[in-house]
Amino acid sequence: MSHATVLEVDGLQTEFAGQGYVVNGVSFTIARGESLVLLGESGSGKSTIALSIMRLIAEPAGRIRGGRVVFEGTDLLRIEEQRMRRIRGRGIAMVFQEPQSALNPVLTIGTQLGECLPAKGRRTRGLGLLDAVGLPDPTWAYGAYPHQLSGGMRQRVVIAMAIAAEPGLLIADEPTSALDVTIQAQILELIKAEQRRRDMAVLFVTHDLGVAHLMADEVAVLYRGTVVEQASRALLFANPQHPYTRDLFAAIPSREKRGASLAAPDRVYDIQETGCCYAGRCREVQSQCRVCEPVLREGSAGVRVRCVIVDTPRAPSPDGVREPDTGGDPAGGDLLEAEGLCVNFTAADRIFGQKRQIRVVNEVSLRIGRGRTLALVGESGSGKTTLGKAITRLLPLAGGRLRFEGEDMTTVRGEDLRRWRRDIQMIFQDPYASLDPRMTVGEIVAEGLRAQRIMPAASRFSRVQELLRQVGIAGGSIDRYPHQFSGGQRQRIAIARALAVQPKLIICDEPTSALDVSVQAQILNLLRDLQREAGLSYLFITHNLALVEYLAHDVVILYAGRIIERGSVDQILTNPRHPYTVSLFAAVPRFDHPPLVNVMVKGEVPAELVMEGCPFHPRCGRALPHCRYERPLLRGFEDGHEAACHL
Amino acid sequence: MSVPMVLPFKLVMLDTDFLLYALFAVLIVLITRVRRNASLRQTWRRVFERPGAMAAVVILAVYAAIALLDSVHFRTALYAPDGAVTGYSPQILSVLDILCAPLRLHTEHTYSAPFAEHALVRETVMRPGGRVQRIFPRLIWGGRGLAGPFARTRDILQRSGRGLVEALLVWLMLLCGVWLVREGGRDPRLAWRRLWRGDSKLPWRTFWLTTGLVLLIGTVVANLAVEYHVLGTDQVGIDVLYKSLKSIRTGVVIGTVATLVALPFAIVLGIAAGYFGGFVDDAIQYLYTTLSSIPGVLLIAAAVLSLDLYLGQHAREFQSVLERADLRLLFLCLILGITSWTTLCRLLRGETLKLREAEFVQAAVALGESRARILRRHILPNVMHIVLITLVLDFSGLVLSEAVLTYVGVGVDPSTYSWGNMINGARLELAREPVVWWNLGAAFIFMFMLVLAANLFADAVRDAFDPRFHRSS
Amino acid sequence: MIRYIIRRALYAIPILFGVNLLTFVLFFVVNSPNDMARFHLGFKRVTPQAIVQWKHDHGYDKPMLFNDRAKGVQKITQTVFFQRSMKLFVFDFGRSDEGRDIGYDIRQRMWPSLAIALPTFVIGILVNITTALFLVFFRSTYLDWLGRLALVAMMSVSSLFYIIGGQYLFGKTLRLVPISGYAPGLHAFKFVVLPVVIGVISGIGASGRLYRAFFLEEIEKDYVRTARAKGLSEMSVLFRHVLKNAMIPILTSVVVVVPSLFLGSLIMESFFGIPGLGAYTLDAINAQDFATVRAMVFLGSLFYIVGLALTDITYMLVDPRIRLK
Repeated sequence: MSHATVLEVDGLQTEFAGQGYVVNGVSFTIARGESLVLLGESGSGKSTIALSIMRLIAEPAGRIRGGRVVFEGTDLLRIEEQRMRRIRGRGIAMVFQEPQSALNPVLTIGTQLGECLPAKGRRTRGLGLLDAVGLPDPTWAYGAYPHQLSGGMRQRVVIAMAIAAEPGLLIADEPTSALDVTIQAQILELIKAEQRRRDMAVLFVTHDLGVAHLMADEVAVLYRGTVVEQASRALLFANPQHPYTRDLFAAIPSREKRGASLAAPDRVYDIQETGCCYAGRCREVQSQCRVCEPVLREGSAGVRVRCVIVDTPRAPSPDGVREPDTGGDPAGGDLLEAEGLCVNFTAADRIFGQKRQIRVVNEVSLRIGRGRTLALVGESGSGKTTLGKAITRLLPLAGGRLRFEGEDMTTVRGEDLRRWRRDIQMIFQDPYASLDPRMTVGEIVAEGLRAQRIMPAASRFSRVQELLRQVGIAGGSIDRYPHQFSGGQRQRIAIARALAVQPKLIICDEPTSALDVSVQAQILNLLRDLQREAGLSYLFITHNLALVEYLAHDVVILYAGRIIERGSVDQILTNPRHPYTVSLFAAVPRFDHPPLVNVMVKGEVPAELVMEGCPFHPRCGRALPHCRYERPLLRGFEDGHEAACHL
Repeated sequence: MSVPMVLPFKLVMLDTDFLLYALFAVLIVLITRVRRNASLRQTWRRVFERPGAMAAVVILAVYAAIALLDSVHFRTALYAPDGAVTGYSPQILSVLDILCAPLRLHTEHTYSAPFAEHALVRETVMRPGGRVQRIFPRLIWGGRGLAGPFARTRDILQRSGRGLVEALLVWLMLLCGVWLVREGGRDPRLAWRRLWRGDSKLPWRTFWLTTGLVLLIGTVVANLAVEYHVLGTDQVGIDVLYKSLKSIRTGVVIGTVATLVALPFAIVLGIAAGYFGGFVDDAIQYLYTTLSSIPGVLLIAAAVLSLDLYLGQHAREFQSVLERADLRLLFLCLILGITSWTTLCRLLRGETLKLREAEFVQAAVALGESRARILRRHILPNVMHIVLITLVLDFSGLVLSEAVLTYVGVGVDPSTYSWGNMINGARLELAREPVVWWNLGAAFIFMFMLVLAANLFADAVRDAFDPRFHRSS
Repeated sequence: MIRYIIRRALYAIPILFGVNLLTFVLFFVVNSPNDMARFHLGFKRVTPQAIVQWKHDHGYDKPMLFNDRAKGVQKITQTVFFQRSMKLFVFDFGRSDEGRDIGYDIRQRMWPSLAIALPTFVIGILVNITTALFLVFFRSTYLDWLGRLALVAMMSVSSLFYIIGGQYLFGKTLRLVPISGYAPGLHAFKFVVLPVVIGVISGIGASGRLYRAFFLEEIEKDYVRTARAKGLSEMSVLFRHVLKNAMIPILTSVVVVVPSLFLGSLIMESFFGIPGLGAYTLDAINAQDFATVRAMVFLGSLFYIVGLALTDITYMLVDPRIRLK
């Protein structure tokens, strides 16, 4: 062990009642000033490792069963709680995923920050820390309560608390997963800066390959509680070795894979009692893999892989067959036209308060062509979900016109509205909330058939079977309940429910944001196939630009309830006009190609809507004086490419 | 002309009897439905996986059985000397009364301690020869068959022993019966070892232990009660055990019927307020805020006061004291239901508000489902767990409040057997010398067992059904 | 803040009106003033003149809710409802059906009531929170398991048994305090101690368990994990972080207790012979004195509404996220 080693984890095992070993023999070391990224999908045990190091596993449900966690020479698993407490915060500090809930809502920021500082000079040092993490007004923030701060600001406070006692090791457990990309970029930059300044070791937990690429010196890929591959960043991203890592890369949608199906496992969860944990999903599985568990072997150049076929030259991961892009024909005509849509949101006070109207969607016009995919891109609070619901008439419109196949649908009511609902369906973000837990899968899928009186009850059964088969759910599932399915399977059921009424347009509201990348790949493939076969149109709501590159034909960028730029996917990606679009693209961490330009948006979306001028002007790096009071209108650049900017 | 077939009794159905039967029928329907529904079955399994809940269910079942037996009322036929039925007795009896005939009929003159042979208080008796003596008179029934003054302990032991043997026999028979039916009589040693070690997913060991204990108490007490007043007698010489048993029905009726009568209102109004919003919501909110702002006991007091006046004015319309008392019991249930209605209504409104925005409801709207169907298929099934939790949580509170209300004077009729009336009567008995504790003690134990079982069961139901309590799974 | 209080007060008016109307209708659906007169005059040999006179004396000789014969506003005001029930709004309680001044009685009797209800309430909350914190501190140990069992057992015992048992033990057997009675001023202490102690003990079961659940719910939240990750001790996590957050649901549950405070004191007062409002109400119930019962219903509802508003205000003090408008 070299002197520089800060943390050594050796054979760590953590068990949860009812789930078995969530962490099963994980080992790694981190040196001073170095950062190690734990990369894994949900259920890989990456957060459990972080909590095990801190000894914060919630007992008695979870228990550390074995291994060593040596921090600066002491085995943390063998000291009493009293000593461990002194190490928490001072020796090892931690930043958590949810800034919304990580701070105590009833104590001021100052009080909570002060708990990490010695009593003497607490306030001065606290203010200094808040300033260091980039809070715009430290004095105000010091006396403020968490709810008065935005998510990004709160995460800055959590980081300030973590670095307050100058820890030797900082554990960051998905610190930016709940944040928008522009804020994510700021927070990641902050962590890196603090690491450099304090020469800290950082253990960074993430599921995002881009973030991993940005943050890592060394990456450990986790699968079902074990490290399957560990390598330096450069080697791992250049030449992934383990079949799982390779599949992970292949499942990421990108511009290059456009038109081709993504590599996706047939089965996601295959409990393997013996042998390699990945044998159930592995493309290159061999007979011995199912019998004995491979060890983590040292390969060339310090790459360690838990696989029997390491270092054997292999064909690259199979990319799907590339089919011609069907939606490329804009001559199909418009399926839906929206003009000047406005949606209000009524905010009521908690106790008998007055109601006031907030305009969340403002003067939005868009067209969706037949068989085409329109991506609606925006960060949280941009009104994109609201707009999606308003287009399906699930929310009342406060203004504007809605035309579907040339017919005005703005004011249809009653039976006409009910009949029209057949043509336009919605897939929701959270597959756990979008299926009624008290209905069987069969009832859920048949709901539309019954409500729209599409076919007699007798023939519904076979139609439901057919729909389920179409989305890749076994026909025998018809009498089971949603909770018996995984997130990806539920999303398929939700798609089957929408397909049942044979819609022409499906509004997909971030349908994959709650799913792992490999499951996301399955869903994207399914949606792509459906479009090709049935000529469906999609309005794809997302904040994930990789998805946009992969599947969109046209793109609309929404900021604070207004469209600020729109155009075809090529126009937007190659030649973004609006400064916001530019910085949005720059903020996305990429491992495949470097960012186009290195601009970082400052600040955050203001809590109060900007009433005058360009909504983006307070954050815009290139704002001109008149951006402040004169609202820019959408103006055309190339054919169909428009942006609302004075530049 | 043929002689008409005449039954030796005539059934009488009281209002609360009817409600109890209805409740029982609903329960059976629900159980069959739960058995058919996989997800509900699983949730209920979680309830029964707790040993405490399993034991509680056995106890509750015993109470429910006694209450049901006490709810089959009839009048016995009166016979002319030639054997023809001339009419029916004005006295209304229940099946429980027949089963407990010795208890019911063995009345003494006044207080006697449990297992006593002599009365508690001295009486002046005239001895032959004109000598006046103050003695503890021998009881009419208590320890009547005893041979001599020292035979009592032996007799009690003998009878208890007999009870023990009977209990053991019945218990083993039940055990073997279940084993034969469920496992076809295979592997007796293994089956026994499994039971002994508690080696099953559901806590069957607890089930059989509790059943055995209940059987044991039942048989021993039954053997003793023929000869003794196991729990003594009260001021007018009525067997306290009999009173306690009869009180069970009152407790169970109040605990169940009260919430049940209010249930339809709470469900309909709560869901309507939450789903439709606007004016409907305002009106319903006003209604329940107003109702809940009146302290429950005062609302009940005002209502019962009115009823008393009404009953006073229409006394002649009731055929028997029992029927009048029953009307009062029913009315008490109604008014208790109204006071507890508001909490459930508020909860349902809140949950419906949340559900209305739930994505699966939005999806149903997007599919073009009708409102009525969304309410029935999506909202109602998803709030039923709240109804169930409220139902079981309220039960024990209602049983307890019966005692308090009866004490205050706005509870059940003084002629109704109830724990409240027992406590009320026994209040001054503690001040007596020697202390009369058995009335109070009996009420305490009977009530405590029921309420404790209900609480344990309610806990398990809440933990299993409330999504907040099993977020991790 | 002041605007909030004004709005709350305005909101209370329709509710109190509804309460009045409800009690009024409930009573007169089954009773006519004639029945009342007969009841109070004694059922035997009541002359029609006596009934008319009694009704006139007690203000029951007008139409119930709507006066056809009167003009204008008087159609509403010249009714039994308006004359007898609406005056409660200005705290004019009128006279009881037996002729006593209800307002005077209430003023006299509120102090003994407060002497019992207030300590019971405050000490009760403190004791329940302490119990719950104790159990939470020792969670997932046998101590917690035993404590929980004890609490379930305690909440399964009727409050009547606590009172009777307490009187028997402390009053009769140990002779520590008088069994019942009351004396004004400082002498009240020895009479108040036992009811307060019993009141507190009988509440531990249900509330202690409830608060324990609140604490446990808080303890699973993310901010507690953050606090632990800072290296805080279990004690400061519980007292600094969890306690203040758990106060929010505890406060909500306390409002539910406010009306039962009324119920509790009703029984306490009657058992311990304390001349308070509870005993007063109980006497009125037993004497079928509608005027008094109605006044007490009004007062009880008023307490409840005030309690509700007070809770909201306390909320604001505890939870910075809430700003009352």
